[in-house]
Amino acid sequence: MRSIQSGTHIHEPLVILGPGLRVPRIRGWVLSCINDNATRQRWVNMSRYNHREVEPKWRGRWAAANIDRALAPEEARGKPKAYILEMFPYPSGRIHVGHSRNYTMGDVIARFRRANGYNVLHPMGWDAFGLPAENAAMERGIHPKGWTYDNIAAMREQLKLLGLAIDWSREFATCDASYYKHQQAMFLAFWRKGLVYRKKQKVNWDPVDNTVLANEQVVDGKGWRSGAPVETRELEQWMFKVTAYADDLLAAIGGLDKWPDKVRLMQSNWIGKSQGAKIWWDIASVPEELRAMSPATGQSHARDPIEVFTTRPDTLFGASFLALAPDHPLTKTIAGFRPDVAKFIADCATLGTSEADIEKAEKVGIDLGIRVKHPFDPTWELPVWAANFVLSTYGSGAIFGSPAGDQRDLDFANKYKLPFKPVVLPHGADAATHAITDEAFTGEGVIYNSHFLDGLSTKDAIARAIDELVKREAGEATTQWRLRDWGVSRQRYWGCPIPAIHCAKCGVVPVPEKDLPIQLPEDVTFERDKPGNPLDRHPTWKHTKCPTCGGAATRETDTLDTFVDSSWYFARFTDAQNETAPFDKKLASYWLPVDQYVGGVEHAVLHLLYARFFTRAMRDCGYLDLPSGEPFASLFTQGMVVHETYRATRQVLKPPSVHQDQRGKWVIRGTTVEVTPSTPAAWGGDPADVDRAQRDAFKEFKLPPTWLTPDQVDSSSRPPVIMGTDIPVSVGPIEKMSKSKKNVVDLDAFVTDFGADVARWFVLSDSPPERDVEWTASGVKGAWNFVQRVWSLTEDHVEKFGKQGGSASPPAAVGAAHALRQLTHRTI
Amino acid sequence: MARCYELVNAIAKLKGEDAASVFARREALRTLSQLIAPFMPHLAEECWESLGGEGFVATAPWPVADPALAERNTVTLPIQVNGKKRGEIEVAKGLPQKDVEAVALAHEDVKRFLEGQNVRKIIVVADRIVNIVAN
Ligand SMILES: [Zn+2]
Repeated sequence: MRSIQSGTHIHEPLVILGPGLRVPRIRGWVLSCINDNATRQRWVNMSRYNHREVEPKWRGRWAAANIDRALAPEEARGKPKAYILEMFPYPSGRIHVGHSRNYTMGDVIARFRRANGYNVLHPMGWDAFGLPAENAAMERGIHPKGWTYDNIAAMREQLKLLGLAIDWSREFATCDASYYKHQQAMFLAFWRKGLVYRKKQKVNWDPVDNTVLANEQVVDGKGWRSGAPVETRELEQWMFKVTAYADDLLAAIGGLDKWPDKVRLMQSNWIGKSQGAKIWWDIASVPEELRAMSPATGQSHARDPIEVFTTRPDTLFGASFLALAPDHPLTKTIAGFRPDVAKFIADCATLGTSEADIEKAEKVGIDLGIRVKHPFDPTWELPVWAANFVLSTYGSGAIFGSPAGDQRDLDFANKYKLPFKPVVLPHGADAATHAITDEAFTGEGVIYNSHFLDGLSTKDAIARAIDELVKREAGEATTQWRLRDWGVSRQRYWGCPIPAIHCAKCGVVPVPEKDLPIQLPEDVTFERDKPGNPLDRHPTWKHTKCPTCGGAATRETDTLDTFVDSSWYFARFTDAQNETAPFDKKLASYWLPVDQYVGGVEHAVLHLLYARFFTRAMRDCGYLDLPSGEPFASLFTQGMVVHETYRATRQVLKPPSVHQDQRGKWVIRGTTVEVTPSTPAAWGGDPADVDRAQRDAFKEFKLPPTWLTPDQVDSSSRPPVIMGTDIPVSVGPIEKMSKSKKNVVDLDAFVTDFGADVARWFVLSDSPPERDVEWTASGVKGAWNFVQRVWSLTEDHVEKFGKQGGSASPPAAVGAAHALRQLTHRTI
Repeated sequence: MARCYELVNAIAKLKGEDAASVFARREALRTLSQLIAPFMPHLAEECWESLGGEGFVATAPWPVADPALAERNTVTLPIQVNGKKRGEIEVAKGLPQKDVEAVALAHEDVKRFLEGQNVRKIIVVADRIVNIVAN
């Protein structure tokens, strides 16, 4: 057995190399599934079709004839246009078979449209800014730029192997200065239009990675990458005014009839419009300390009513308490003289700011010692608490708790023994016996226990309660949005520089357009122990002159969220080589909207929402003629390719199954093994007496618990074993192909062995396209057999009857021949 | 994709070397290469070229079905013996009554059921049903 370098693939030579055999190497793991000799022989003998010659030949001919080029509108001569786009990849390094499904699906649609007479635009590019490049730089001392472009080069070759009908003349990477130059210009245009502003904002701060994290990047209160507990900080952030389009972004979802319902629902929920009321609760009493510190006139926490937003004013008579967000101004003021409240706020700050985090956490609170008067009954006083489940970003950061109608409020009231009564009677329930103990009733019904609202339906009671609030000047009707403006500042090097300058005299000044692009400096250092943004640390880059007053000033060192880069790339593809503008207005207006967009459902919310916002903003800044502002007419979210996962459990090994690779590492089938060196005591004697081999025999080898690639595993036996050994492997759940679980099948190795067509056919077969497809050896074999069969039938026919064999016009067909003709035409 | 498998099976089944069979097979193979082209573009080009196709199959116009051939022109007729359904046959639409009777009587299950009985009468309602009266 030869030793295998860690990370390389295992190639098993095929048993028999007959004249018909043109596939000398087949992946061990597939072979192992077809491990009976006769079956293997039959399979091999069928290999008449040599994909290794055929596939590169046709790719070369297609490229030479330039058949994948999209035609300019004036060349199209009446052909309708079809813009087919797959979500462009992040250049992470290599493409595995799991990724290929996305591109293959788009390609099938593009090829089908072309055959049907469309002028097809099917481009490809790279979503190339982002954190992994900086992490690679820190961990391996490679510059993010070099790392990114190397990966792009490798992945481009892999994608080309798939035979995708892509117009490569339009390729770009978002980290090309020729791309982000236009993004900077667009940023300035949005700024002029009032769609960009700066705001102090509470952010999730990762103290280890020294960066702001999006809510989605906070997992259980910890940074998704560093695992460090996340802190909350206030930072001046650049914001995009997404909420300027809130109404339209919501209303237009109704017209996106070629989007999956699931995605439309997710978009609606994210925007989250709710109708309700603002209610002002008058202060009844406050702690003495608060009264003492309040000014005699003007705004005062001791006197000003507390504003609350609710969607259910019909349940006002069921109110039991008010709850404020931990960072509500009133909570913070009280913390000034109450250490227990200060501690409570600090504890909540480690929780993470996302709704999901807050939803998961136990509901806790603290009584702030304030009492307020009920808006409908001034003699009724309610306590004011601070609670961790109240979001400061929703409404005014304060709610009234109506425990019988809301599970969180009920849990809270029960925990702190706050009294409450039910006010909504479910249809058919008896008012005398209906009671709420542990389970809230959140539905609609008839209002009772509620004075002038008694007997009304939920809907009528909401209207009546709002009327009454207005009459008493205690509230008003209002609309709330869950959608927030988009904070785009990132304290990162590998992103698009924000074209702004800070001047002590003039404030924040836009970079003049003639000075664009503001390019990233390349001489930067990445070191774990030097916190913060390398742009900020750079000795000269940020120092510049103020464009307004000419005085010394500094550049903005924050870069744009990479979601900005992917919010307009689809428009750039319509005119990718344009040097003076992001794209020509006519070209973009001809090609947009994208007719078919294909991508993962994991982007169903943010990417699509931001792209929809950006398209509207581009339209309103005059870049685009697209009245709807909708970038993607039809959306398809494809399922993943999944595979069994394999895991070796910790076990003791013996040579010779363990051996040293070329670098001297002890490995078994490419997996590094833990070695405890042998001691002289173990083999008893003078090192001079014992040769190396003997000493090795006394070493202790342990296989650490580790994920194994399908290549390393012989899955024909159950339980599977590490290829070529009898070391058992445990089979884990079938999961999405991912590097960390090592259940990936590398694309170019697969294409070399089986061909692109087998990969393409397989990833599209066997399951509905929106569902996951499991990568199995038998499935691959099925696709392989189909390719061979189609070729054999064709070759046999041509050998017997020639290229043009048979008559030109159909002879009178009867019986079986007629039936085949019928089937042929029916299949079309 | 399932339809492609079906077509491949049908092509493999037609073994005849008469002009009509050769024509039908060649037409089916050419069409197949066009239908699989979006999925397996390399194989499709190789097949298309072997079959004398012009240019690339990738840029060839999508095949157009002949409606006369694509139309389903067979019907499925239930066969009743003494009022009970005993089988089904598939025949061309408008097949003459005599031919329908012959096909119905040749049906395996019907034959077995009629064993030892005399067929008194066969009523064929064109393209709908076959009724056999026997005792
Ligand atoms: Zn200045």
